[in-house]
Amino acid sequence: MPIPGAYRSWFLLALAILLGSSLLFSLAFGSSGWLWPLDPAHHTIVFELRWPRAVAAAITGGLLAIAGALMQVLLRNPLADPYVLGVSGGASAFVLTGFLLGLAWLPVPLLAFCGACISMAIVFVLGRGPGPWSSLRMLLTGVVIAAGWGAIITLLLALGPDRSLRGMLYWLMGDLSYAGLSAWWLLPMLGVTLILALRGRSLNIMTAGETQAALLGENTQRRHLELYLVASLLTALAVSIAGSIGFVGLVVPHLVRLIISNDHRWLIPASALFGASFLVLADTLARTVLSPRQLPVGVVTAIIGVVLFLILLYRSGRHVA
Amino acid sequence: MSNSSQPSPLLHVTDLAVSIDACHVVDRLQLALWPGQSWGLLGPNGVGKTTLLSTLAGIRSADQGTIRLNDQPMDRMTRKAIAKKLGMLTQNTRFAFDADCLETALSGRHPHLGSWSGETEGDRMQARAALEQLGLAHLSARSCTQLSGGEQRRLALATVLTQNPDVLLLDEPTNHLDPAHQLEILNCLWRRVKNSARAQFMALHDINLATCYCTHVLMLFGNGRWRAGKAGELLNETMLSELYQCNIRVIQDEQQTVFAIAGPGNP
Repeated sequence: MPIPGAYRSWFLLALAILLGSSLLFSLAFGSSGWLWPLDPAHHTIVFELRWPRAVAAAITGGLLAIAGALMQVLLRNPLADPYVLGVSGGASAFVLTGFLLGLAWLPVPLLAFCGACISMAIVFVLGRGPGPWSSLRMLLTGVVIAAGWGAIITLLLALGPDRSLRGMLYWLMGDLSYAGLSAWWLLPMLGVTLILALRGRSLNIMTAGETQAALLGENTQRRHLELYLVASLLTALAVSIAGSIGFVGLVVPHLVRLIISNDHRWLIPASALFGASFLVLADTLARTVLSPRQLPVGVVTAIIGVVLFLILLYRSGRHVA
Repeated sequence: MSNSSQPSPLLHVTDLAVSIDACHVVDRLQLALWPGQSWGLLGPNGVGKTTLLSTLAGIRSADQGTIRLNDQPMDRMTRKAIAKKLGMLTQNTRFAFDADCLETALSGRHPHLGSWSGETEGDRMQARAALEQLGLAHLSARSCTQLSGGEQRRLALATVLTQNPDVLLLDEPTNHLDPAHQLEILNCLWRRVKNSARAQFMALHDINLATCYCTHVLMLFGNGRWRAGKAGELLNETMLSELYQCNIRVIQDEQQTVFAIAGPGNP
């Protein structure tokens, strides 16, 4: 049962505090143990290694969570997610192909955006098809496409030079070891979240289906195109930062829905905050649990995500029957 | 241009042709819905009643002809401008995501609000009033996926009543409802049309509800043939028997006229 409407702003505040504490925790805790961030002796480790990586994790998590929530509106299916539907895979494959073809002078996000758009188009056209909505067809299409991109990436890695292999594996599973962003990037992230949250009423109407949304005054074709482009763009940006990290876009909006209901005016900002905290914590776990070895963060999110995905699929299957 | 001394119909249809694939629903349909009129749309199964309603709502394109809403050509209006004036209750309403009944009814205010603004207390009061009218007030905090078929139907109606359009199209509004609720809803719709000069156009299967709650009827015979006119003139044994391709008898007493299917003993 979702919490009453009056408590929603408190919940957002709690999530903001969670994000703050996750960032602080990830600064203080790492493979070199606990370090008090303000101690000048640890300045280099904390502010030049941990901080940019934590910011990258927060932004990637927020991007993926919002992209997932938007895809769920677009496809009217709570199981939609950039990774499950092969959109992240498409973006990764395009970036790698671009590198191998000597197109490294093109910006990475542009290549990723093209790949994400093509992937979304395939799922949207084939997975929708004629006739009524079928979750099964959409998911199958997405899963097959994701497997296809996975194979292409593996092929590219096999063809590529050996020494770059380890560094490039993250296109397959998602890794934040090579990522680092300045904290200024949090501002555009905040802007995107705010804009989408303010347009949340339109998103709510779109979930009622094309006919109903049109009858309630939405220009559905235009709205679909916008959702499609924004979801692809957010996924592409996330992939450009950290490769294809799975299941964040699925797990985060789902858990948030349980607490805050499906009103996108609240769901979007809550997902962004929770997604950011989730990935910051997951990455802290990934770099410490087997330290000094570092795991790709995609492994951690996948372990959590796969379990939850199966539970969801099982429950939605029962509802349909 | 319209001017206030010469009233125009709320919905004005001229020379409309609608078809599904090669099958004609209507040819050269002329129709004018004036304030205070309640139209019934009658016809056998599969004749295209829903298709015609979607065309009148502007979500399906016509082969020919024009539809004017409040004297403006509908194909040049934005969806939002249309939704302020015209609402439609579809045959089946399915709710993809969970929301409580009040929030669902409140979605009817969507076309009246600015893209970036939220609902006001006035909007909430309208939604609550609509839920109250349809006997759903006690369910306003209940999730819309936990309702019975009849309650879902009434919630969908509450949403279009919250939208409060001048022209209301209804695709079988009494589906899934027991007799008491059928009357409650039709009475509520009838009051709306009569007291506040609106117009409605509803596909119905029950001829006897049409005799009680329609001032006018449009009959679809298939192959594009249609008849429109006053209910009293068109609702008779000959027309109805031809319309439904079976024998329909009229039974009258001092209070009302009832149409019934003539059994095998009454050729």
